[in-house]
Amino acid sequence: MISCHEAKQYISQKLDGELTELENKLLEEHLSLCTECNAYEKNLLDLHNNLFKLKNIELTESIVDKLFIENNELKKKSENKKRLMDKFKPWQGLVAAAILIGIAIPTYNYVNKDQIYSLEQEARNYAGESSEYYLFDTEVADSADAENQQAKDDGTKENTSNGNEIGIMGIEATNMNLYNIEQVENQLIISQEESIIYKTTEWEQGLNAQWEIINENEIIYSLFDKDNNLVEKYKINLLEKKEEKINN
Amino acid sequence: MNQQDMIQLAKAGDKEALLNLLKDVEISIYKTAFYYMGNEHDAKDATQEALIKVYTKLDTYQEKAKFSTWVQRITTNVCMDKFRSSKNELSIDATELNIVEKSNIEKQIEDKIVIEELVVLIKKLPEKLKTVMILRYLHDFSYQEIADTLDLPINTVKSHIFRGRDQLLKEFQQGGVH
Repeated sequence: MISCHEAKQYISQKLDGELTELENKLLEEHLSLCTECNAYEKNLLDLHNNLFKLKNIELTESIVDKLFIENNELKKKSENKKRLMDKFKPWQGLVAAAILIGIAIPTYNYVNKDQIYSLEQEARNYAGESSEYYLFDTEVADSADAENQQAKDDGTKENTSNGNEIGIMGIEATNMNLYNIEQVENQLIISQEESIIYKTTEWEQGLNAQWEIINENEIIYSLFDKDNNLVEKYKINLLEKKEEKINN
Repeated sequence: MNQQDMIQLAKAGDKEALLNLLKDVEISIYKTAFYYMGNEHDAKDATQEALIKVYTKLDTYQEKAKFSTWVQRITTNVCMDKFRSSKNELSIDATELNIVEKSNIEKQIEDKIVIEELVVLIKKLPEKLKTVMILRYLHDFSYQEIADTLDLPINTVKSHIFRGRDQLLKEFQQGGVH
């Protein structure tokens, strides 16, 4: 018979219609004997139904209307930013980008003279704060903030009159698939373009890993026991090909 | 006109199609932003930023991906960035929740209280769990759609949803509002 932990996971999947026939059968078998899991199922269903109520919120005024049609402030702001951005020649941006991070994309300036509205894309410096990597650890997020502050101090960011930040050069992480990471029994195998570049130390039986790619050189992985309790956390440095345990 | 046609026209430079497309997606963006940021003001800021990105990146959208998952990827990225940099405190109360009118006033009030509690709890979830819960419950995304939006394996999505629900359930029950 499946454990209560597995039963709870199956209960969760069942709410989404994501149980196989076998899993459903195993769950029913468990629920026929376990009052605790029966109660859990009822409570989770109540929560599930309440969560669906979240979608019933309204937007009181159209942001599209304000942004693109009604609000000429946007056009004025766009023109101000365009004048500000024009101060920096593309080659200066490229040199600065090459020095800092080696990557630059041009800012975009969209103006259509036939229309009553215009828009300019804000180029943002994503170095150190790219959400493509789903930074969730406050330690890592703080280091991202520090890098961001450094970029400001270096003059690669500046504030517009309304306080929004724009970057002189923009870096976009368009490809999230830096590495292929797979848990194989009791270790993670990290590969890139079909070559294995790192294997973690093997951990004890019964633990499962979750991982996050922080940047192209760092990966953090966490080990959870069968009750989903965090057991250990490690940071992998792919440049130095080593890992170290970090505080939870 | 269906959405794919609108996208094609918008990419070709048709301003009316572009505006209609943006209006089509603005509420779905706002819902994500609202529950991510926890208040109307920041949600509108995030929505504005996401709309601008949809507008300017539309040329990069490829039809092989679902438009809704593409839009939500942009939205969740914007929200994550803003949330991390804002360090804002939750400032929501029931009056900020513009719930669609129901005929039963009592039920409406009861729903608002429950939803208010859930908004607080969702905002406290770790980033990954919060994101999958928002995509699941606000946008009815399947596990596969969530996996596509966030570029995660399906098993990870299953695990995140389970952990998100489990955590919310524990906190909700401890809060005594049930």
